[in-house]
Amino acid sequence: MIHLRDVSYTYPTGVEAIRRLDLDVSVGEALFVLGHNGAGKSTMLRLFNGLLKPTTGAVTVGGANTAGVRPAQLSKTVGLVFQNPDAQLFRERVSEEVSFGAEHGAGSDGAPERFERAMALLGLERVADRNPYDLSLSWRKRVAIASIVAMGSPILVLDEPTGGQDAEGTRVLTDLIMDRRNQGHGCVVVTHDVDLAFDCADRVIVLREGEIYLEGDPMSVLGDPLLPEAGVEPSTMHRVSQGLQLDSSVRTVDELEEHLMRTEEV
Amino acid sequence: MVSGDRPTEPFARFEQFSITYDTASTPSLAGLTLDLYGDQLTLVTGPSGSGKSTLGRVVAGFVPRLLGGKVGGSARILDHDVDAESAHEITESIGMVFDNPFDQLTAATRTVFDEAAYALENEGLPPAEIIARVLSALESVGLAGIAGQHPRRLSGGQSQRLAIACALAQQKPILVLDDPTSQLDPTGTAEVVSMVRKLRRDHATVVLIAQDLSRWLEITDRLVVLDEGRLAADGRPASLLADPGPLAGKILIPRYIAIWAELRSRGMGLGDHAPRGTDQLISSLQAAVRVGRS
Repeated sequence: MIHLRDVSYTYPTGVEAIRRLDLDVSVGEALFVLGHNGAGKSTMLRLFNGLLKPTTGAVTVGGANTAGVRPAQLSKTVGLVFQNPDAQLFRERVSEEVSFGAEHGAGSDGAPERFERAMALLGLERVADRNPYDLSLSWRKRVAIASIVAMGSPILVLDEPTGGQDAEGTRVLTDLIMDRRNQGHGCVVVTHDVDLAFDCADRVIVLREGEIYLEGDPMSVLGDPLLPEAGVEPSTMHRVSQGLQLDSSVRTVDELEEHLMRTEEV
Repeated sequence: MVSGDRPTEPFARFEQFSITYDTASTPSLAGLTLDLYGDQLTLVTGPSGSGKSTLGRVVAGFVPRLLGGKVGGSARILDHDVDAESAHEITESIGMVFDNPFDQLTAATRTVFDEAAYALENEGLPPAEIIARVLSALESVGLAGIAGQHPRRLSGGQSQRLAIACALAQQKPILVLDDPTSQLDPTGTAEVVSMVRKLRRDHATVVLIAQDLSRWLEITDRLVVLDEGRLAADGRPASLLADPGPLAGKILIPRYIAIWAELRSRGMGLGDHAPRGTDQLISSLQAAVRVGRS
């Protein structure tokens, strides 16, 4: 659905944020992007929906080269939610904000259905009549995500969705990612939360200095010995597996328990 | 020093304290009774809207005097009534650092040194004292080596450490840190945590407000959980989180505690103290396996 071919992006200041990147994002996969601040994550997201055009190379979205398409057009295919929700909230009521997304999106089902579903997925029913700017930042973020989810774009892109979220918000957003995955919709998630990637990702890429440094399934990438070089820590389960010197990393508490029982019997 | 062995008087005393902001219809803190002690790191957490940032602002003297609000009950900070006396009495002793360091730095200075010296110059202190204080504060946060650098060239972690250095240079004995790492990447977060660990070794008093506890528990003396403006839980983190179930909807349970609690509930002999980091989880699993073998 999204294809990057030999893409570089250099900001007008001369900073080369993305270097000769090749990447394919397909509909239906949960792709997680990790990397330290300044590794090129946010720049890459902006290339996905045409807010930035590559300096060299080509980005195609749904078959169209982004160089010749307006971002508003691409947003029907790639729904991008910024890290800062205030960049996109402009209605006076939560329900109006989410309706706006539903009415300006596309999809097999109608706008009212997409509206209802987005409100429910993000748990916004009880704040439907509130002004988004009377809500806390973490709630405004949920509203911004709901508005994009309501558009029904095949690919949803979330930048740090769980950052600053409390226990309920984290659960709601984790459920949203898993729901999309289970429904075959998928999403691209940029995050510092390695354990979230461990739980939810089909595929993980780690960016470093604008290049793909590591790529693969979460079990192999999130315990890779090279991970710290990219400023990313292993997942908790990988750290525990490594700390206990297990011969292979465990994925679940069940597997961990089994390993520990076996060790006890030796 | 959560109970029993308190060496000092509390520096903050909340008694049935309530506050409703002028623009709000419901109170942000509702009948809170709580004492806070010096030479501790008190970590305050709770859901969004639970009142934890308000608690920090009251401790720092910003509320109600500077930001307004209707008060019930009483709160005394360093023996000053927050509702009756001027905010200055409190703000001169308590430094507050917010989540976004770029909001806090002046953007008017050209070096890290000048930034940390800014408030002291405004106070009209003698130059020799300013230099001594600023260098010592930059030393404490690990920025002395880049004192001549432009503040805009700092990373997020370095900027946050500079914001804390500004408070230290003003010799404020108590620090309130409101989610100081929420906008930082893991590298920046690690820098700030290790700096606070060092400040604690020098007995600094810290009130830390945070949503993500995972990196902080290791240096937390006392954990305070707020919910809807009230006290929901209060104690040493290792005991309070030994049974994390009841708190799961209110606070983000760190993964290492979730794993520990799950294995413990299945009958593994892991003791009664929740780990305060992944390394502690690993040690406690290793110990359990050794006991199982013998």
